[in-house]
Amino acid sequence: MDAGRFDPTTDTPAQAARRRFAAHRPAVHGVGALAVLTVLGFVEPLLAGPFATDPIVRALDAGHTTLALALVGGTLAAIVGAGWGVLAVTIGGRAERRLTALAQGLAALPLALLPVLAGGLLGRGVDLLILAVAAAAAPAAALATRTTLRARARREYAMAARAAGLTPAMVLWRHTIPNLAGPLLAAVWPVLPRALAVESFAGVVGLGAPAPVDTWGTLIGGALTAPFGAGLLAPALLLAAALAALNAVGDGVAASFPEERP
Amino acid sequence: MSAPEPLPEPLLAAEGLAIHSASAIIVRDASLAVRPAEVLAITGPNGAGKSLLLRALAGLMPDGVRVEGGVHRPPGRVVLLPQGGPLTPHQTLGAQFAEVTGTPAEGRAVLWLERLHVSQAARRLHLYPHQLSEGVRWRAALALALAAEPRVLLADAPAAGLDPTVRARLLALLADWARETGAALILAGHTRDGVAGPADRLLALENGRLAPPPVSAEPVTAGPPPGGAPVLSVRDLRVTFPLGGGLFGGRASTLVAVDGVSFDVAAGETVALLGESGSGKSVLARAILRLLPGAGGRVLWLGRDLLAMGEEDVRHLRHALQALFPHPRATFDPRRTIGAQVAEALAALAPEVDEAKRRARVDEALADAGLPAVAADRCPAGLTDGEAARAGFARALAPAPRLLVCDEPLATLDATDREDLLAHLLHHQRADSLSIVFATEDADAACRIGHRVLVLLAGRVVEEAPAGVLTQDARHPYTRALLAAAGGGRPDLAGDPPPALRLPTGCAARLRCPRARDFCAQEAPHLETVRPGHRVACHYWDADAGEWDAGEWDAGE
Repeated sequence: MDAGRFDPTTDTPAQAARRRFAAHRPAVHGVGALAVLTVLGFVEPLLAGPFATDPIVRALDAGHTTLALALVGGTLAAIVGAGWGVLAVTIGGRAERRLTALAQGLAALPLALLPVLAGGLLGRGVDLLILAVAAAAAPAAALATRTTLRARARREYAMAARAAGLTPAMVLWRHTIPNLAGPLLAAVWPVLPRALAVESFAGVVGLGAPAPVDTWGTLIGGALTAPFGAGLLAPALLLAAALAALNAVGDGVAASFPEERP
Repeated sequence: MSAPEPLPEPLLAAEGLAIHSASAIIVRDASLAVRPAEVLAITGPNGAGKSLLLRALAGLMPDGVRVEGGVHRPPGRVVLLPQGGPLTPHQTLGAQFAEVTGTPAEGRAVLWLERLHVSQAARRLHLYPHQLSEGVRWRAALALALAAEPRVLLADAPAAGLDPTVRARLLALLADWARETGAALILAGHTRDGVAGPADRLLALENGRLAPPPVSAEPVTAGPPPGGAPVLSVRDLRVTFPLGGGLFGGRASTLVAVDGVSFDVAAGETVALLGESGSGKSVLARAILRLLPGAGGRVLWLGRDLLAMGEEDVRHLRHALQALFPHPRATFDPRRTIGAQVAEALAALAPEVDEAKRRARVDEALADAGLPAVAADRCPAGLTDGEAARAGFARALAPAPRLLVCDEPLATLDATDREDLLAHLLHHQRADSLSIVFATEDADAACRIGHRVLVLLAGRVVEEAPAGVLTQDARHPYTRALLAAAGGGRPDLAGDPPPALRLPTGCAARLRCPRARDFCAQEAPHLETVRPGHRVACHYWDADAGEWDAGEWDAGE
């Protein structure tokens, strides 16, 4: 069968989602690129001895740190943002409008400056950096969560399940949450590339992770002051590749859970 | 008596028309002809190729579709009104009329709009399509098509999605136009879209063949009404929804969806709730089952008030109280198989049945509803509309309920599936003396399967009567309009239903009612008894037919 074609008579929705993801070429390449970056980070210590100061080796070395910071900051932002969105939709009414307006207002600010401000005003530290990155990415995740829930949560099947004698808790755990998990993942996924970009920006302007910790951002920032920009190319290319890969995977996740029509 | 006049030459004729896509033959060997002043309706199920056939007749084929055979078109315009009646979003109505008629003169545009009963037509010419209500948008789309002064108008599912009363009136206006101007009109759509109503001739497109529809079998009707004490008694039920307000304050208001409805259902009896969309029938159906909270009144099931019970106590009664919803596919979790969901319902409703027996009962219920055994292992997306509706029946009937509350369960189905499932429902009613509450906007279905019919308007009962009485002697103009729409006639109810938050004072029907007088604005009518078992809420229900016609004449309709 054609890889991207969804055959409802034989596929379960989970199989169909996998099939749609596999059919999204950029997303598959993105997963491959992220895997390569991760593996290169493990290979790098073998080269570190003789070539420890080589810019390429240093950039590969910084890969794990950079991606880990983005992952932790992004996950934190996703949890806060999703919680924010779920809370707004659960309360509903005017409170939902207020919470949403707050997220919209924050998302409109240049939040990429938040880690820079934090680094400049409160001193540099990895914990603070992660918090600032998460705060910068969370409002957009809250908006995406709320939009997804509004579009998908009011489905007849929840009411039908209650008519079929299920308790509200059973409906929530067996039907509502499994059905919303995929679309919510797709909605909050963009926090990962956002966290990576924000963290790198702080590094480039010299207010990212503190001294012994290298990230692609701090390497780029350091290279800018070096003669002829020596050592700029490797971390910049790796950062660009990682951002493109994360965004491509996000597109693939979104394509895996299309808006279904009843 | 003179010899019959020879038939005029057809305006549009197709001979041996075949439509192919890359992979399939969609229509084969179709022949049709429409003569001047003739109205032809083409009905068919989903995906039968009605839209493609119309496009082939208009000579507007999409890429990748081939047409064989000849279509003879008249000199002059053949206008195709596509599905959904699209209007250009970035132009005002006036600009769109100017484009069609070739002159910026507004007078003719106003005339066309008024011909389709658009109020304040001159003002609306300055509006954009998104500023119009659905009813006015459809009228504008139809008026634009007429303003092109076509010799042949091909309308694809015209006014589908509007209320039956509004739609039937619009289709009748279209047919009037064709008969007056000698143009030919082809209406395509589902049977449920009411296109057959004003038509002179009917063709059905099914499995690629275009032919006169088969003579339908005797329609399903309910048996004689059972006697006996009521099992379900609804008393003064009121359902409201809060609007605005909330955690941080703000001015709250209330939408009253159901207002003081009372009725009884005996064992084996069917009560039909008949009303347009927004009349509160769905909310009422859900509130009876405690799927929505009631704001007042009582719902007595075998003497126990469901509204006063705790959530858990109601849950223990749910095996006897089952529901069918509109859009059957959406009532199943898309991630799980049909078999698993029917079994889940059975496990929750009848926990005493053991695993093996439960599986047998699921298979039995699916087979009983007319589904093949493989359907149990499919997810909802793998089912057709008809199969999904049958799966819904299987889930509702598996626990052997005593009351089935149906909310438009057949709205998305084709005519054959609809009759099959109605027959299935009535079979169960006879076998198990099942009580049924059946909410619908189709007066024909309501009167065929209901023993009693409650007509709902803006959350209130405006007429209630045994089904036989209602078909013969409906007294409320709104009921008469619903009956006329279902029978393919011309409903005598002007304009669109008022929005729920801006109901007129007094009688909710008065802005559309041909009988309305000043007094109707002052006081909302209460139910009055016409004869035993027949009550109506209209100040002028006893205005006899002659007086009513005179009133209509005075109103200058």
